[in-house]
Amino acid sequence: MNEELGIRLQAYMDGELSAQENQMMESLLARDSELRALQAELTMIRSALQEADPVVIVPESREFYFNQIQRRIAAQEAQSATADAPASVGWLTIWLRRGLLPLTGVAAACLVLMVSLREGAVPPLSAHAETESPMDETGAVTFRSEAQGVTIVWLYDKQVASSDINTDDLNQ
Amino acid sequence: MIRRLFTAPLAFLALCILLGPASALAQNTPMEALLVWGTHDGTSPKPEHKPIGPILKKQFEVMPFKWKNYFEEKRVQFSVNTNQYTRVDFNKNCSFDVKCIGASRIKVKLYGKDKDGKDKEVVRHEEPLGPGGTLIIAGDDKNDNSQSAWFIVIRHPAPVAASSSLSAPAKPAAPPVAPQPK
Repeated sequence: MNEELGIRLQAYMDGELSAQENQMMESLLARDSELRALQAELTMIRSALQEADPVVIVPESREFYFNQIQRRIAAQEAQSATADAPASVGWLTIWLRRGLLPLTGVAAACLVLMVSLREGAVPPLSAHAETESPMDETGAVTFRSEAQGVTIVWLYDKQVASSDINTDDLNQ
Repeated sequence: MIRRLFTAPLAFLALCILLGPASALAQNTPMEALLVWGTHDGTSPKPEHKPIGPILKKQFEVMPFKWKNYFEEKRVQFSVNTNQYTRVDFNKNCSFDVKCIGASRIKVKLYGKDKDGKDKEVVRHEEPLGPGGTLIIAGDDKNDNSQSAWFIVIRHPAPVAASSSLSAPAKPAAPPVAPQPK
């Protein structure tokens, strides 16, 4: 049996031959005992391989595994880069990143707030005057002179004010 | 070791920065309060009264008040802080509480007496009162048929350089349009 016949037998077993070639192979198998022996051997090898190499299905996807591998490679590279640098420089860099820079930001913000509050650049939550008269019979009118920097809160008797208004109406 | 050397001063610096503004606001702010009477008369009925100072007089002159003369009855120096109210007593019938509520903003509670002689809160007012600022709480004198009026003047003294400019304002304001006291 030549080599080409063996290859064609494998193709036959894999279902790769045409219908006409299949018929020819089957007639050859019926006549050639050596060829049938090879077919039996190939069948046995195929079944043995299928049992020896089972397909395992894992819960995680392929991308998940690849991502984990990629992250570990990146971490190892970063670690090796840090190890290559001098120890003091590495610690200083970490200290600068984690400690000094945020604190500098906080300090700058506090400084701006302090200066603003002292200089009056930032108005308080409510820059306007608020007047409240807890007494029902007393009213309050507020007047502000920016030129003089003076605020006047004038208190008046509501009853007297209303009687004055009524008197004025009658006079008119 | 080196890390500890850096960490301790850094923590102290952060603490100072964070507590700095709070302590700055919590400090006492000196102020003064005056009880003033306004009248048409040339002299005050009480001999112990004296005419008000020139700075305050100028401020009263440009305000929409009808009275010709103003007399100082009492002057009180006090300080306000953020922690608690400061009580300022002018006499048995008139007093006020004042407190700093942050960023130069003060809150004033003015008290009078009710029919039973107990303190009653007449008005509550709050506003920013920076250096050189003046707050006046005033009203008619009911016992005098509105022929005179009382004024409580609360002043936050300006720094020395600024006070000189207050004594001679460069541009007096025109009489503002405001509710005219009777």
